Amino acid sequence: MRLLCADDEEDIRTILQLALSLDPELEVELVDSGEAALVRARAERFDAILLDGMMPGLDGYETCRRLKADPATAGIPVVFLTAKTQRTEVEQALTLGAVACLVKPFDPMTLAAELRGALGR
Amino acid sequence: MPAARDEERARLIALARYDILDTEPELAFDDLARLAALVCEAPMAQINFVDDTRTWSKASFGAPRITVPRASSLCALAIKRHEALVIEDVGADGRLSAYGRLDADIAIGFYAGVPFVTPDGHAIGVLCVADIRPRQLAPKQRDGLLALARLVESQLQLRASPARRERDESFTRLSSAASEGITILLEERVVEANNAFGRLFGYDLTEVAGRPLLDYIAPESREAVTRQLGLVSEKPHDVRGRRRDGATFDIEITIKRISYRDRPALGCVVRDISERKELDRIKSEFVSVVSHELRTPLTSIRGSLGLMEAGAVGELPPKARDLTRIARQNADRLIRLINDILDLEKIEAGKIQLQITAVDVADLVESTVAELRGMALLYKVSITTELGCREPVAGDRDRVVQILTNLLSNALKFSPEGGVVCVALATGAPGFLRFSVRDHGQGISTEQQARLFTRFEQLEAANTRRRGGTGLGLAISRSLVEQQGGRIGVESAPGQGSEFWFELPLVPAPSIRDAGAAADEPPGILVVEDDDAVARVVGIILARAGHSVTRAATLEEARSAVAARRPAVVLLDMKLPDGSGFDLVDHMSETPGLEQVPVVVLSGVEPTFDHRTRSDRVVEWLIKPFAERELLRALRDAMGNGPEPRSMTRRTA
Repeated sequence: MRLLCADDEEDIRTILQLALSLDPELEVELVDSGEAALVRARAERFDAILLDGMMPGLDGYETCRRLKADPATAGIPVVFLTAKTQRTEVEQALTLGAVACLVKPFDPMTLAAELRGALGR
Repeated sequence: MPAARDEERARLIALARYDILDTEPELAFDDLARLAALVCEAPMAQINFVDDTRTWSKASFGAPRITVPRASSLCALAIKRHEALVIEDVGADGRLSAYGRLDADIAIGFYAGVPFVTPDGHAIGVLCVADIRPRQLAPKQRDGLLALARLVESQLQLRASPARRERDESFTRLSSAASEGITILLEERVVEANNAFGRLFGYDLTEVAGRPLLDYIAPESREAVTRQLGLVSEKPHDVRGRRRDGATFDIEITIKRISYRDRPALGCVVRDISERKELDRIKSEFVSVVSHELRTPLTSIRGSLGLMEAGAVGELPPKARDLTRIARQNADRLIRLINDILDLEKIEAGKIQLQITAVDVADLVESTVAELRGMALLYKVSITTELGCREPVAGDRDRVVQILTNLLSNALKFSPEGGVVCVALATGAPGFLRFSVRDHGQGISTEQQARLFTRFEQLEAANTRRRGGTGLGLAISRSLVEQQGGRIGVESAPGQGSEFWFELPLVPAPSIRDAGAAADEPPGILVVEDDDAVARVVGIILARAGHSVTRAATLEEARSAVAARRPAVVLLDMKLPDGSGFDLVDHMSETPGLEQVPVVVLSGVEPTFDHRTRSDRVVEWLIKPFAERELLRALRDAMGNGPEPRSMTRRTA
């Protein structure tokens, strides 16, 4: 399963890389911004996209909106990874068409499983 | 002309403050009338006051004192013009013929009147002279009449009775010491105000009186304040005030019914809360920063430690693994602490929305206990249950689980090894179900019990480290219980173990169902209300009266509810998140089978003309808050008269 992850924090990207690579079936590509995520999602096929909610420039919500607005990428399931826990933010993510919202801080040992659960595979 | 009407209302209030209408003659005023006649060489002179319906003489020289309809009074004309009015030949002007009498018997030929004015500029009465024959008023006489009118003004100021002056002085003295704005309203207009009130809104105290209260309220808050004036709940409301320069600011306003000079009036206390609001804003901004800024580095720390501890990046030497575990456990604790602080903050700020439903308590206890079996094993404590009462409660299931989990995990942590913790369900206070968690720990002294439910209160600092708690669990539980209309407490003594309990309101049978219940049940009452608390209260009242209740929180839910099952009556909130209640009324009017369903409106505001005429399906209009019996009566009437359109009545409780 090919997964595209966008997070502006380099440390978090390092941990995501390690945590998700514990699942041998996941092939993970990391980018550092919403803009980069859009470019990569249009260029190649991914099975799912994991977006950080708060990023400078295009934040996760706007990135998601644009992914869903583009017929080429609208079908790719999006999961949010966010430090915010307000119900409205989770609702916002789901309204935008995301399939789930995972919270930071996460347990790296179970993140892959949680992601699979959210994606239903 | 609303401006003229406003001015007239202000004038009448100014007049009322003098408390002079229908009082006995007074020598000072009689003398002034006599002087006016002498100065103007006129046979008749009067000091007349004009209220909303009549002209009334306080003093009269050369003619009887009068009370005549305002419409036929030359004095009322002088008041309207707000200046001296001299008519040399009343009969010559056909338009004035209706005015040409001092009373039914005395027709007049000549009239000269000078309005006297209050310090805040309202003409409340007229000093006038009159003659039977037409004549002229010499300039010197005119000057004399103007001077005497000024003396009437002074006399009015002096006249305020000693008792009332004392009363007013005590109001002034007392209220001037207050930092809150204090004002008295007659017909929603300011009649008295203290210095702080003027200061608050940037007005000179002499300019304050006579203005409608709404002049001091920002446009966006006027509807809310109008509603508050109508309900007089005596509960403080946070609204936006408006200063003289147009700037708006946060105020808290409390309105209370009082009596002012034997007239029903409203007392109103205004407090500047901009500072408090600013602090609130800073606090929630801080909380949101904490939420994000602390979580981001913690994600990296927790993530790195978790990967290292699990050996995901290679096997660690035993000592390094121990240290990594300690660091990871403490990162977890920090995360729990942040989550608890945020949770408590949200609960106390009223920012969480409770999803109140009928909760199956036995199932809830069983599943909560099952969740904590692992923890019980860890502490070598066993859990038993005693489910003495299994009736459903009205609560937010997730939040009830959170409370019970908190109490149960505390009990496990503080039980001795090999101990037993018992979770019980029993009947509580009338109408309530009691959840309790009993342990055989060391017990808690009475002094400690009092502090237990406050923030960061743990019995011993050492416990915090040993048990890994955040010190916020009980404070969160208390807030959650109270927000669901329940109570929480503890019974304990040192050496005797502890029993922590909370009580939540029972759902009386038949229970409240969510929209979309089975279609074969008899028609029930559909409650369309987006506010959970109101819906819950209404649901409980109706269920107690034996009605079957369905609830819809939005227009959309209401549409599907009426489609699924024709309700006997619809209780309808007008303001719904996705539209107006009238959209549902219109929808039902156009739907075959639903045209006849009576509607009872539950609203925070009075019906407007448009509301009243919009539909004959609305048979009642209840203003929130309403009393239980009022709701039931409205419902009974609506059901009894369901198919027949009735004229709409408005009731308040």
